Amino acid sequence: MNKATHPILNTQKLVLSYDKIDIIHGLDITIPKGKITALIGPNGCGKSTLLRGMARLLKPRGGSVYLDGHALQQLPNKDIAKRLGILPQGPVAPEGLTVRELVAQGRYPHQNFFQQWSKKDEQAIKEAMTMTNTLTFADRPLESLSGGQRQRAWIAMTLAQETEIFLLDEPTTFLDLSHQIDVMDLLIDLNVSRGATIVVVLHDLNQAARYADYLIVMKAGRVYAEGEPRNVMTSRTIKDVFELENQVITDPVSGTPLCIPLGRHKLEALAH
Amino acid sequence: MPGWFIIRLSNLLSFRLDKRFIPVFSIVMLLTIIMMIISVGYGEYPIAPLDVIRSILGIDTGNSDHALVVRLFRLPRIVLALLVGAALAVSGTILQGITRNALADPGILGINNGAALAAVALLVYFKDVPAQFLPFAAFTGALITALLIYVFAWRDGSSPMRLILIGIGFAAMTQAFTTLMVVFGDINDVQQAFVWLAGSVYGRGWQQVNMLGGWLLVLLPITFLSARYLNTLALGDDSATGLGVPVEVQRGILILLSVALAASAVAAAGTLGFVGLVAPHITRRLVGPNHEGLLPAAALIGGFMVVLADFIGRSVIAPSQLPAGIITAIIGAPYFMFLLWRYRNTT
Repeated sequence: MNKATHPILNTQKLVLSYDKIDIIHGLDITIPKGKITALIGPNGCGKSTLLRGMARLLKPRGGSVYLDGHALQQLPNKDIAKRLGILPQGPVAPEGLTVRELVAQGRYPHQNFFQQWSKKDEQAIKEAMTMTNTLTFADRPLESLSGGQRQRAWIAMTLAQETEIFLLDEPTTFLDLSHQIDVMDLLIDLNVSRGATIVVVLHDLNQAARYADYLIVMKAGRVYAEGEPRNVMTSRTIKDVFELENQVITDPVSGTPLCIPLGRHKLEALAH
Repeated sequence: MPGWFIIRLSNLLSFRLDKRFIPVFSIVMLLTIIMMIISVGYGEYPIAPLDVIRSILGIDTGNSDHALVVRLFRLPRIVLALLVGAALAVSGTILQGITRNALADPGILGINNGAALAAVALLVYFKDVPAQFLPFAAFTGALITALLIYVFAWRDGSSPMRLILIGIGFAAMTQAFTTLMVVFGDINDVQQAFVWLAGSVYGRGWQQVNMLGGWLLVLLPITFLSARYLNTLALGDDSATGLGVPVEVQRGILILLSVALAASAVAAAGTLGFVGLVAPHITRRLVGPNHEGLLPAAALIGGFMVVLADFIGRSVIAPSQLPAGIITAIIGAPYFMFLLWRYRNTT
């Protein structure tokens, strides 16, 4: 098969379900290569489920996810792990695990029975920690770190895996604003310096519009709209998907769309 | 790299360990050897440490009783204590790793209760069966209970939380059956069953050492080689899957290893509580959470604990003896309370 003719990551007629209840209903999507794609939508729309499906954390009930044209189920686990890295929501680490130990786990798919700590492994974790700015607290246990530092450590682990695709499930939730921006900047770095393809579930619409090259807007398990933020993030779309009155203006700094939600009180005031 | 001890042989082999492992392992090894020599020498017929070493190595001490007492009576018992402790500690380390719960111990997989049920049933209802079958019955009982728990906890995959909850349910159920038999059984048989269950290396010989030793010779190397799977599983199913680990397959193998280790220990010495809970815990504080170092160090520390418990049990109210299982419970239970208190605010 010729690599160039296949999208790097796509789904066909993908059906995903929890407890036999379908969440995603026959989805066909194609993730643009070398771009940052944000999955957005209201709670329960299936954006995290879709990401989990693409990350093979959830077995499809129908259809398939394809990596370079090969169905994920037919690829060996380690081969997938060398190409596709994931950061799940709220990951856990054992007590006392240091940042360095955690990042080192990212090398698992590159190791085997005899090679459990090669020079290349060492190089990769150093690079990952440098890029995420975690070297200064590399030998501290994770539980002693702030939420932002911890999230950077987990991203460093995913980086050490040296994959070309990254799937991240709400990496900015529960972080304060400056750490959210840290994480988003890091994703841009990764995209620019490694040409990585990134898919990220985001809660904040404006962050998504500002940082992503491509938006996939979901509603009730289906894609409502997809494309570049300036084409997709319109007042109409947001009203339909989130059932929220709003105005979309242009962000004066980044030039991307910026959504101003209008609450009930504001609407009443505007009506007078 | 700070914190790590790295072994690399050209481009063929590479390996890393926590730097704390080597000093900790050496010190505990030394302590264990000293403790074993003291324990072998101790008794109604005391033998000097140097004579103990000579007798073990087969060097004549000028007293023909020494070789007999040491090699035939005392040494097998103490070696068995070491092996039982090692088996329980490694079993507990595996379970705490895969359930990601520092309070898990082999008991949650029904190993103790299953073994107890089978042993009591054999002693109370199948009196014609010779006593040598007791270990086999205990082993089988443990294995079947663990298997049932695993099967009942399965629902689109095995979740560590369901394993714990179903395990607690099964523990209560098997215990109820055991109580039922105890209530209606013949008092002499029941007493015999309780003595066996209390967990002791009293009166055990080379036969038990060989049996348990044989198991460990197979199970321990496989477990040590599974260390990297345990490391990844400790990060959660999602992360482990993302790293390319076949989560269910590896977890199944690890549970089987854990059950076989604990069951073979129970078959050899009855139920010794808390070793499988406390030993991994202490070891983790000493060598960190990486299983490459944690597993062998826990084995040694568990072994040391049971050797020590056996020694205390023999000496504290000498010439009477307390089973080692009672000593581990007396020391282990408060430690468990301390852990509960320490983890009271974590989810």
